[in-house]
Amino acid sequence: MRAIWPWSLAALFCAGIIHAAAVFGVPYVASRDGWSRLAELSESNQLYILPIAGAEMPLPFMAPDVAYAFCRFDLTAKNVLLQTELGDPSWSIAVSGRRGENFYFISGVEAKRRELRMLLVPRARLAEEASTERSEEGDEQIIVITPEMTGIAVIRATIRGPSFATDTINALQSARCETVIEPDPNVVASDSEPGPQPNAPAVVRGSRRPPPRNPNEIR
Amino acid sequence: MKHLFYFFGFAGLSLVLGLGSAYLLVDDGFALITSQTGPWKTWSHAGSLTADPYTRAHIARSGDLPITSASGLIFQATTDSEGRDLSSSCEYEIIIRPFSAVWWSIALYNADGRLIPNKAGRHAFNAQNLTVLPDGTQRISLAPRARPGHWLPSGKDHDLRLVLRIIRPLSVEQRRHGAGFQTLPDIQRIAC
Repeated sequence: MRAIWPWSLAALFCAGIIHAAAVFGVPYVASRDGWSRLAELSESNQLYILPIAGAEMPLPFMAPDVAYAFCRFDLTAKNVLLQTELGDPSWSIAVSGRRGENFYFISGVEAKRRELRMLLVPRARLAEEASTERSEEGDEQIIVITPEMTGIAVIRATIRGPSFATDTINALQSARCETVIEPDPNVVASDSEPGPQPNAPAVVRGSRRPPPRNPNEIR
Repeated sequence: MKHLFYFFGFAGLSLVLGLGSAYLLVDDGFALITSQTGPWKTWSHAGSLTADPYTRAHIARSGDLPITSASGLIFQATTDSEGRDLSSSCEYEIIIRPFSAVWWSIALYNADGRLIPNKAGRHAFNAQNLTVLPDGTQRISLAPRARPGHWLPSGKDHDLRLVLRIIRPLSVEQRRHGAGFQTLPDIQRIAC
């Protein structure tokens, strides 16, 4: 009987180590975290509008009275610009890291304006950045410094009631998420040349589909 | 032989205790990392850059995209205000007193987190579509069959889960004075 005590104490000690390893390890091995679920539906630096929560939901516990649009940003090559219209003071934008750490949030109440331009700049590149709170076109923009190169920006557009759902989705269609294209000083602008195609948001019509070849043609 | 028996006992006990306790605490939380107000529970540090490892693991397992508690709060209730499990075989009344928040909403799910299909297509009520009664409260009926006023259909034969979302839960002035939430909705059982 006496011999069992060292084994029991050793088992408790090892259980503690296993417990800590499991808790700390879950965020790194979880295959169904928010990022992974959205990565199945999207490409980076493109805005997607999720279907209003119904029987099938790409994310757990999605609010049935909120329309969600998201952009998985990747700042490795260039900064990313998020532009949206805030249709109501209760609309909000949350910017989070790869593992869900929410480092920036703004609602329509704080924004105090209808159009919002948000420039995402990685902390690692901040020293060499010349971005200011006014864009080259003179528009006001919010500079959000991100601790990581990748993350997720989520626009939450509240829906007054079921009959307003379509209007809310339509209002989100004007939102954009795209890499910032710096003008090439060697190219002289010409009125006759067509400009870049607008990076319109894609509407996700079903969950768990493979990534689309053309993000604007999800069906 | 005896030592072999002890070794397998040691390995089994270590795994069961280590993984079992991790699963329970990551799934349900505990008093230090969750906060409970009546039937409403929230993960206090969800979405925070300084979140504890249990909260981070919980978020990764759930697949949720949280926002910090200063920006928004998400409470869940699986019991009524008396502590009895919420069931679709019972009828409830949710009594809401005015919140100081930019927006809030109460949505109904089954225990697995799925919306309950119903002909009315009604799954939630929010600050913008609930009327205020003369006594200053807003009330929602939770019942399998239609009820007058604001009715959330609860279906049948399953347990229920209510989710309360609050965007910008406190004003800047309240946050400065460290005010907390005192008036979360009551969930009263009317009949079973």
